Amino acid sequence: MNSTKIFFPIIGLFLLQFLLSDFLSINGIRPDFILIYILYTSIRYGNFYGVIVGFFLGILVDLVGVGSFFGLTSLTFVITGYLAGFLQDKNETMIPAYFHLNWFCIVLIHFFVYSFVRYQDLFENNLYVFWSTWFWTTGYTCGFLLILQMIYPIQEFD
Amino acid sequence: MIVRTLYLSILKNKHHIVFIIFFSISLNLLLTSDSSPSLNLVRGKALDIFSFLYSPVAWVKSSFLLEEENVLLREKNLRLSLQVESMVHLVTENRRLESLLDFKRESKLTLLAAKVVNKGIHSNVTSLSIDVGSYSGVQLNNPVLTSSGVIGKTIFVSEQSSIVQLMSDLNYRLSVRILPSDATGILRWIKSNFCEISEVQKNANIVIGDKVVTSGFSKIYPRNLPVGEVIGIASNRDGFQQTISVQVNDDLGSLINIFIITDQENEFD
Repeated sequence: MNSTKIFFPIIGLFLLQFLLSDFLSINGIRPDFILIYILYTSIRYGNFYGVIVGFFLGILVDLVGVGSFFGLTSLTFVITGYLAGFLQDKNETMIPAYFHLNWFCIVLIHFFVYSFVRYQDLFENNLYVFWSTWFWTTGYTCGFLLILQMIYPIQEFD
Repeated sequence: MIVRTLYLSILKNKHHIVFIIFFSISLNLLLTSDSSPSLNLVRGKALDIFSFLYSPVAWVKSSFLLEEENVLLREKNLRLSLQVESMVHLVTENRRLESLLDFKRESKLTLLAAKVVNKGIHSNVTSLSIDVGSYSGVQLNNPVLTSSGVIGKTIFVSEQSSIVQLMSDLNYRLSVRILPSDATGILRWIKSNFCEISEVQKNANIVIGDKVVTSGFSKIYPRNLPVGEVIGIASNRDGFQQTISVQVNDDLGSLINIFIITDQENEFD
């Protein structure tokens, strides 16, 4: 694998997220392009690269400026990279619906872990608000993921 | 032979090993980052670099919003001028009453204006970076507010930038007082710009529209800084307390300019 194929998109993607995410913010919720990239990379190159890329991008995201829970982003990205990596080369052998359901569940798990740690207080005291926060945070990124699916299907990336 | 088998085994399971290593490092960072001085140093330097990189974007963004902000400020200026007029005589009366009570209070706050550089790149806005740091006199746990009221406090300070923990952060709590009843409680964020005050005595006479201000019990916040307004009251049937819903004055997702209280003197003589 050519390392430039991973390195340069990372720089571009990070700048995209860093410079544009604020403009796409709705009610304090932003799309997570980095998660989308990790998902695609892991499915294409496997969980070894997925975990490494996820970890370093997560650290970078946290270094940009996070108030509390430094390390949470790298933790969730590492889990996502690891899980999504198991879907490498599975497109041909899996039922398409099952394949898509798998990566979609990985995205749901990512945001659940993220929301559970960040909003654990809401999880204990106000489940409705917790689930609605999780739903909108997940839904916004999934919206972009679905648009990308139409342009560049994830199964073709595999 | 054993070494070769071990090597092949590691090679075969490298993805599991890498996952365990990076998972452990991330977990360790998550649990210990607040108490690590060397990590804080790295975070400080990174924050300065990213703030510098983001400053052109912040400038473009603030330029776009300048005209709209001007209109709002003119409107606010007019409203405040009218308020000042009506309050002048109240101040005089208040001073007279204070002298009668032999009670004098001086509240001197040193405010430092700052610009929001970025709001992080997480999926949810819980903190923001600002363009002033220790060189400008900012310290840890300095209260941060806008002209509408409290929005958070500084939790990380580097030389030229700082990170502000917003009300929307899970770990944020604020001791508040509800006026005019003087009931006190602990405020925490719920969603968007809505918060809840818990641990409020059930017999406190609170109505919708009451003002919420800082209580002054905390060492961080001076008292009577505006926070928000009561929009709902819920009594706990089987308890002695009630929960108050509050709308905070600012939209936490669209902050551009803020103020930091770098020095406060709040004494009773």
